[in-house]
Amino acid sequence: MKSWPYLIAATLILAAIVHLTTILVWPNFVMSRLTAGLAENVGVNIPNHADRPTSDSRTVVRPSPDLIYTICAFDVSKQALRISAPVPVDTYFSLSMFGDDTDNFFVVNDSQLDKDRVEVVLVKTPDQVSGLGGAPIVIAPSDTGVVLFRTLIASEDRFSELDAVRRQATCEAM
Amino acid sequence: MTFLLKCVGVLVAALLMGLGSAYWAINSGLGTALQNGAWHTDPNIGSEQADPYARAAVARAGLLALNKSETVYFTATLDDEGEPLSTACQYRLEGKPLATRWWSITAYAADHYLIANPQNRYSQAMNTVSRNADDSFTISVSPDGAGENGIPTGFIAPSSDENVGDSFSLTLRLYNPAEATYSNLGGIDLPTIAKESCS
Repeated sequence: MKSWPYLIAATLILAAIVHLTTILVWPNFVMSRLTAGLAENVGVNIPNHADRPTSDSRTVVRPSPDLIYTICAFDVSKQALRISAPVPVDTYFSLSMFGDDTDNFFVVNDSQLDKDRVEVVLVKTPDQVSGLGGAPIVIAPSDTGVVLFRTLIASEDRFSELDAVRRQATCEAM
Repeated sequence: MTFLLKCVGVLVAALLMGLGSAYWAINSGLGTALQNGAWHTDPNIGSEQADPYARAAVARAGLLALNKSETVYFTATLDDEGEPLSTACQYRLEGKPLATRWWSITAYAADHYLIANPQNRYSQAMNTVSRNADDSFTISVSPDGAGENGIPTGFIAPSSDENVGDSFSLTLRLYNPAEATYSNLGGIDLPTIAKESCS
C-alpha cells in the first residue's frame, strides 16, 4: 500500500497546527518580551519615562516622534494598581491599557476628563480593593500587560514643560 | 528505520510550512482589511474584535496601537501607482483637511523603526505643516527631506550604478477622529502619494 498520500495529509495537518499555534501565541510572546524587558530595566508597576522617540529607539515598533511616552508594565495578579497623572493643558493626552494579547482594553483622553488629573485603579477582580475614595475601577482582562501615557508635543517650545508634567505620572501597587 | 525517516521528514516539512506561512501572515502589514487609495488599515486594530491575524500583525508592526475611536492608523507601503515606496525616490503627498483632532504622517524603515537622517526629522503633522489658502497641504518625502513640508528618508546615492533604495512605509495617524471619519474609513479623502523622481 502506498504511504505517500498519508504522509502528505499528515504534513498538511501538522503544518496547519504549527501555523495557527504561531499566529495565536505570537501576540502574547511579543507582549511578554516587552513586559519582561521593562521589568528588567525599570521594574513592574513602576513608570518608565521614555526618551523622545528617535531612529535609535527600539522599545516599541513604529513609535510616534510627535509624542512622549510613559509606560508601566503591570502585574495585578497579587495587588491592584493605582494609576494617576496630571493632565497637561492644551494638548492631546491619553491614558491607555493593553492586555497580554495586545488588546487595548481601556483608553481615556484629556478631552473626556473634566479634571486636571486622571486617576484610576486597575484590578484583577472588583473585590481586590476597597475604600478607593471615588477613583474609577478598571478590570484587567489579564494579570499582566502595559499602561501607556501619551502626550503630544504641541510645539517644540513646550517640550520641557510637557516633559516635566508627564514625569509626574505614577503607577503604584496598592 | 525508513518509517522513522519519513516521520522526521513530515515533521520538518510541517514546521517549515507552518512557520513560513505564519511568518508571511505576521509580516503582511498592519491592517490590510480596508483600502483607501494607497493607504490601508484594519478597523479592528487594538480592539477586542480583532481576529488572531490582525492581533498578530499589530504585535509585529503596531504594538500598543489604540482602538479606532481613539486613533486610526493608516499605512502605505505603495504609491498611488502601486509601486513600492523606495528611499531612493521623491514623493509628493497632497492632502485635504482631515476631520480629526490631530493628525501626523511618519516615515518608517522596513524594520518598523524611524529612519535615521541628518535632520532628525521623521514626520509632519497638523501642527507643523504649512498649508495652502484652502487649508490643503503638500508634503514632500525624499532622500534629503528637501521641498515643502519635507520628510527625509535618509537615502544617500552610492557611487556605483546600483542606486537601489530601501523599502519604507508611511503611517497616517488620526487622533480623536470625528465619527464621520472613523465610521467611513474607506470613503474619506486621504493624501495622495505621487512618485516624482528617483535617484
